[in-house]
Order: sequence, then C-alpha cells, then structure tokens
Amino acid sequence: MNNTISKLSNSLIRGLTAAALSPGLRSVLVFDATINTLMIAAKMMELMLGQITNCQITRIQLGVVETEEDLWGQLLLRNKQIAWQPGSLTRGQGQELRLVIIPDLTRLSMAGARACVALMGADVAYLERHGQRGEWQPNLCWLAGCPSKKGETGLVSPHLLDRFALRLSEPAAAVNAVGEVRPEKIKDVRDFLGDVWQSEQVEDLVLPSELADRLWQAGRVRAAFTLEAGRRVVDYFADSKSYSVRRELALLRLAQVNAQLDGVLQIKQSHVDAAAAMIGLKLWETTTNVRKPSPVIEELIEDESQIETTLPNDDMDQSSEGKELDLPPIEKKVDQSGISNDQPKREVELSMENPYREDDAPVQRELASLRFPLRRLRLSGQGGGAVIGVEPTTDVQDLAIVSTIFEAAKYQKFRRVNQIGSESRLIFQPGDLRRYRRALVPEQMLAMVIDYTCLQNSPWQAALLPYLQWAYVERAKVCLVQVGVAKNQDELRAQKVMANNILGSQIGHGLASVSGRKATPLAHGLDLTLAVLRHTLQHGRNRLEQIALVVITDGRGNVPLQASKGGELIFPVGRVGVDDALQVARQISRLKMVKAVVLNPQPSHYSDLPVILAKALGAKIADIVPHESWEVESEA
Amino acid sequence: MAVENAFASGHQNQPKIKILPYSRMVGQQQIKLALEIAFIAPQRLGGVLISGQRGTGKSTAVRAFSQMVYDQLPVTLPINATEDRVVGGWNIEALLQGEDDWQSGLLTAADGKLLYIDEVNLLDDHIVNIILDVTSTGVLVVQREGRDQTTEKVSFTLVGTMNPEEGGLRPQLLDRFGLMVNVKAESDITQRVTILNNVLRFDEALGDEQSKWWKDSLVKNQAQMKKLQVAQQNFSQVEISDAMIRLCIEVAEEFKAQGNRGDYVLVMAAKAYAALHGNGLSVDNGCLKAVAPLALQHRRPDSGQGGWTDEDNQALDQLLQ
Repeated sequence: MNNTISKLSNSLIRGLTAAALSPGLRSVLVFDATINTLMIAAKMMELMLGQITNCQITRIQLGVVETEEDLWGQLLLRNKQIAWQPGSLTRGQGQELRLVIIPDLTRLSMAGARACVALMGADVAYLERHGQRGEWQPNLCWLAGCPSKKGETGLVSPHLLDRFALRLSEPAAAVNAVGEVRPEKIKDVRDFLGDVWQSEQVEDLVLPSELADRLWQAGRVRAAFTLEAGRRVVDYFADSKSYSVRRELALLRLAQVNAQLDGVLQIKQSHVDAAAAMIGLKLWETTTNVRKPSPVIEELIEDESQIETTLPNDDMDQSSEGKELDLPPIEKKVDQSGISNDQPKREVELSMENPYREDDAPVQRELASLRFPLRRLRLSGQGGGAVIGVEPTTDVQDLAIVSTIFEAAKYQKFRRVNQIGSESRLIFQPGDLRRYRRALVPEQMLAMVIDYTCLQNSPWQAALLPYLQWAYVERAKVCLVQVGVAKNQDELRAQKVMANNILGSQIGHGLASVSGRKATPLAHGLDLTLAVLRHTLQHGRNRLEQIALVVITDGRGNVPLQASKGGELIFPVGRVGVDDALQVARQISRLKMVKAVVLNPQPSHYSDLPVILAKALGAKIADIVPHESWEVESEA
Repeated sequence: MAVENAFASGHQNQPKIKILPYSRMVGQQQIKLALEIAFIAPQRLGGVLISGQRGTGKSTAVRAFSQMVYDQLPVTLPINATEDRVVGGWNIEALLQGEDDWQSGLLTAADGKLLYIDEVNLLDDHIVNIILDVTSTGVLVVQREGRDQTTEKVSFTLVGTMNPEEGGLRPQLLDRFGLMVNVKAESDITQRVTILNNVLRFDEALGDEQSKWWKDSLVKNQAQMKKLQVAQQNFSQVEISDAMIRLCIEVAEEFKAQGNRGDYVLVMAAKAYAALHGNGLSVDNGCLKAVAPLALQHRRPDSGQGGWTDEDNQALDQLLQ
C-alpha cells in the first residue's frame, strides 16, 4: 500500500505536504478524485498534520445531511441529562486540529456550505447560538473533492470555492502528449493490483520515514519572500479575470513550501514555477521577458524601493543567512522511456487543467445560493425538501418534535413550581414549538416536447422564452423531449433530457440542438412525456402542484409508435404516426395538474394538424409569429 | 435533571488573536477612509457597508481597524447567530438548574462600539428585521421567553461586509448604512507585490511577537490612532458654511439620493473628512468630493447595490466647480 501511495499521485501528495506545512494552504480542493483517492489523501493528511503540528488530529466528514445544529452545537440528552453538545466545527481549537473531509462539494448541505464560508481561512470564528458564546482561532484543515468534468463546478458558489486556497487534481494524464500510454502508469496499475486492496488498509497507512524526515526538516525553517518571487506570482495572474489576492497568496505559499522542501531559505522564481505547474496555472506574461515588456512592470523594476520589503534575513537567524540546509533531494525518478525527447521534463506531474474552473463553468446554481430559502406561503404547513435546520413556529405543522421537547425542557424547573402532579410530564407552552426548516423543493415542472424537424426559420426560442423564465422563477423541474434531433443515433425514437432546474447545462445543450433528420417520431416523444408525467405525479414524495407542458410541433409525426418501440419501420406508414400521436395526446389530456399549450409554427402544409393536436391534448394553442420577410433580408 | 456544560470553555484565557495590522494593509484607501470617518463621527453617521469581490481584504480591514482603535476584535454577529444571542436570552445551564440568569445579547454588547456583521447578505431574514428595528429606533425592546419587557437605548456603529455575488441587501437594510464602499481587487502591481510580502511577513510574525516587523507595525498603528483621536476631538469644531450645506443638498439631489439621509450623511462625512485631514477645520469642495461616493452610491434608485462610475465622478466635478 505504501508503495502504491508513494506513486499514487505525486502532485497530489506534494500538494498535501504543502498543506500540512503551511497553515495558509489548509483548505484543499481536489478535482475529479475518486472516493478512494480522497480517503487515502485524508489519511496522508492526517499523518502529515500529526507529524508537523503535534496536535491531536480528529477527522470529521461533512455531506448532505448536516444541519446547523450538528455543526455549531445543540442540546442533547445524554445519560438522562440534558447537556450542550458542541458542534463538529466548534471543537477544532488549540491543541486539537480537525480535518474536515467533504467527499463531494457539490452535494454539501447548505448549513455546511455556510459554515465553510464562515470558517475557511478565517482568523477568528464566532459562535452565538442558543445561549452559547464563543470566539476562537479555528484550527481546521479542509479537504474536499469536487467533480468538474461536466461543468459541475457551476453547482457550487464561487464565494465558497474561492475559500479553497489549494487546488489539486488527481492526474488523469495516463497518456503522454502523443497519446501513448505512459509506461509508469502501467506499472502503477500493476502495483495497485498487486497490493491487497481493503478499505481497512487505509487506516493502517503509515507515513514513509523519508517523507516524515523531510517534513520535519522543512517545518523547521521558513523560506523568505523575494521580489523575484513576488513578481513571478503576479505574472501568473496578469489576466485580470483570474486575479484575486487569495489566489496569488496561495501560489506564493505553495512556492514557499517548495523552497522549504528544497532546503532553500529564499523563494525563487523556480519555486513559483514549480508551484504553478503543480496546480496547472499558465504563465501570461513576465516582468523580465524582454519580448513582452509592460510599462507598469518596467517602472517596478526601476524603482524597487517602492516595495516595502527588507532583506529576507532581517528577522532571521544571521547564522543561517544564505545557507542551504543539507537535505536529500526529492526522490523523483521519472521513467523517460515512454516520453518524447521534445517534451519538457518536469519534476512534478502536471495538473493539466485550469485550477480555477469556476471562472468558466456554466452557472448551474440559483442566485444567492448560500442564503436560506425565503419562506414561501405555499410551502407553509406543507413540508418540503430536506431538513436544513429548525426554527420557531406558531403552529404544529411539520413539527420538529425533539427540538420542541428540548426547548420546553429548559424551563421545566420554573414551570413545575406551582403545578401539582406534573413531575413526570413536560409542560409545554406555545413558545416552545419548533418546526423543521426545509430546503426548497420544486412545486412546478416544465415539460417541453420540441419537434426539431419543423423549426427552420421559426423564432421558436422567443416563443418559448416566457416558459423558461417561469421555470426559473418557480424553480421548476424540467423535462425536455427532443423529437427529430440530428444527433439522435436512432432516428425512429425521441430522446429525453431531465434536469432539476432550468439551469442544468443539459437543458441548454438540448435546446441548442438542430435537426437533420426526416423522421419525426412525435408519437414516441409524446409517449415519453406521458410516462414522465405519470411517474412524476404518482410516485415518490411528490410535491408538485402544477405541470406546464409546452409542445412545439407541426403535428406531422411520420413514425408510428410501434416503429419507435420496435426499432423497425414497416411501410406503408400513411397516417399511422399522426394518429398515434393524437391517441397519446388524449391520454395526456386526462392527467390532472397538467396545463398544456401548443406553440404552432404555422406550417404551410397541413396547417390544421397543430390545432387538432392541441384539441387532443386539451391544450391552448398559440401561434409562433414567423420572421417578417424584411427581417430575414436585413439579416442576410 | 443535572446540568452538564459540555461546551468546553477552552476559548477562555486564549492568547489574543492576531490580525494583520491596520498599518500594513496595502491600498484599499476607500475602505480605510470609510471606517475612519465612521469612527470620527460615530453612530450619527450610521455605519459602513463594505461590498466587493472575493478576497479583497474586507473582513481583515474591519478587524484590523477594530484592533487598532479598540484594542480588541469587534463585537461580531455571525451568520449562524440565533435570536437569543442577538437581543438577549436566558443562560441555559442556569435555567436547567432552576435559576434565572439573563444574558445580554450582542446588540447590548456593541453599545457605544462597533457591531460587525461579516457576510451581512447571508444573514437570516429574521435577524435582519431585528437589526433594522433597533437601528431605526435606537431602542432595544426585549420581551421573550417569559421575561418581562425591558427597554434599553442602544447605539452602535454597524459595519457589514459582503460579496454581492451572493445576493444583495434589502433596501431598508441598505439605507441603515451611512456609508458604502464598493471594493475592487487591487490592480497596481507594486501594491500587489507589497501585499504578498506583508502577508508573508505577518505569517512569520504570528510566531514571534518580538519581531521588528511586528513592533514597527504597532508603532505605526499607534500613530494612526492618535491622528484619529485628534480628528474625533476636532469634529465638533469643524465649521461648515450654509453655502456648503446647500451644495451638499444639491449634490444629493443631483444624484437622486432617496430619502433625506443622503444629504445629512454627506454633511457629517464631509465634516469628519475635514477633521481628519486638517483643512483648517472647515469643509471645502475637496472634502465633498472625497466622501460623496461613499455617502450616495447606495441611495440611488437605479444603482442596484451601489457602484460609482467615472461618469459619476465627472458629474460631481461639474457640480463642485
């Protein structure tokens, strides 16, 4: 196992080492890591932190379910006594260091996300809850995983992501630049298979002695800031879009650790470059690159006295001035046999992607996603989504019984004074009532059936826009059924895309699809819709109050439903496709809570079909106003 | 039922928490100006809202300022606060023993001082309502959990920081802040490099209170503090002519500041600026120019959550000619 770990992910291990050595880097985000990698990383982190800090290291895990009470504290019943139980995040203080593991940042509860914002990187933490007061310097280390391959970073608030100082990824670079599998990767897999892989073995991991020695040596010194390093850091964030003080500081601190691991007392440009390579940062321009001088940076070079910096050794032990510690170099044997001689040789494996993926990820979260949801009148007394806390209430809807009992328990001594025979019963008053605070759940759904074969030169997007806006405002679930899209491998069938809300990237991609087929499996599209609607209305903890169904089609379905289901078209087809579509439409019309509308592209042929379909659906019908001819000419 | 206080009192007797010294904060002149003006003309001005991009030192600036002027961290209302800790509530451990021991809340603790709310736009709506009520009336009325109603006057300087990406403030709360600063990340490269150096030096100083860098910082802090104290003493002596007051009102009108607080805050802020920068203890156009963005940007109906543009500056210059 140790053998596997030492080769598991060099930039990842080195990054964890940096986080252990530098308190300013103890918020680590690992993109696209498997859960196994994350657990091994957590164990390594625990071992290294223990080695560096001599603190007691306690691991805790945050996920979907944690509430504010879990994190900040609550009254609990223990051994028949009511006592205040500190929360999991209030105990990382002094000689106890808490390693907070978040396996998937996109699934973190809102209470957890808000706690991260309040605590991560904070100089001081505060607790002001339920009679408890506290002010302390948090002693926490954060290790989180976050998927990013499909733009999932857009699910997480950038305000939260910005708190993570160190961005790493599990290198997926199993192939070199020319696409060949790297031999050391094959060896890694063999080693991995050779080890007996059991989850318990993660707990048996020990810090390799060489790494432990190195940590000890590096932790004894602090590499000093140099102007050279400062300029180099600034170079990496010359793009104003990516610039933030936190990012620059993180890069500088990582470079500092690199210097310390090298046994050098000053941070050099090479250390900054190595740090940037670890996290995948690209260089934009350099202050010393004569090919691309910048006027502002030239001033900087000319007038270094503006920088309030002294020689690095001002406050350091003079005997160590300029002395490099006698440390063994970092063991990094890279098998060159599979690598082209043209490739640059790097000590650390490259993390190939931009570490600040939130800058480009499509937004898939709600506005103000870190705020508790506003209480909506329709939800009051109706329950809702997952429990995210408790709050006082004046009625007994969705009562949080335990919280109510604890609230009443506080006052029993007083309330029982004049109550005879009440010793065995809790005395409640209206002010004790507590109810669950719940995350919002969709009460609405927008289902769309779009026939892409009839949309040429039709401003259908404008006609659809009000419904999309409604779906956003209502936080509606979304179902998009695509009929006749070009990318559909099986042109006899429609395809379905589901999303929790309109912000899902798959909906955007779906709406941007184009048609290239002649087949119009409209009946199948409606049949898919019928199945979705039935399932949504009749299964699970359905809270839906309304479903809006929008159908955009000219009604000319030319694929019988049987052909879609069987995968084979039997000629002649005739009107079968159209009749099948109408039959399914009538079934949809019988569903309750479904309000349908047909957006009519006003085809020049069989112009009555959309109207007939709307009648079958029991739907309203609205015409899509075609482009005026002058508009088309002006665009040309 | 026996009482157990499981909440460790480990936070007591902890060493003082160090924050990057105020004198070492690079750039961010608008933040510093707003905090200093609010200190010089306290409470009457209505506090400061600092809104801006992530990682721009907003929270650090407030804490550093408080440590400099009050020698302690500010009374802080965290986003996880419950109502009992805001307005006051019973000591739970004592209650379980059958004893009544009322604990004052944060609003009382902040009386005469600074009340700081980090991530103010993430605060629970219910807590926001309480703060609105107290800041508008200046009176804290508590009648809860079986306690008889008590009324006390409280007055504090409200300081809030926020990242507007996570949502704005309700207009009523926005109006409670006398001054607003819109913070942007430092763009000057010299400043950026200096920031990096200062933070690393601070990291070193965390383990060494005797470091020359730390001692120099405290000396500079003390010098700045003296300057602020002198300005505070001189505030009441600063003269402002009727013509200047008229100009303040005209400026507020021109920028369509809603309500009457805009011109009032503008006058107070201009006086505080004059007290801070000498000026012969009288308010002139330069004072107005410096403080107008802080006093007015969040009061305009179409400004969203603040923002002051170059066009606004040009318009202001025109008015002040």
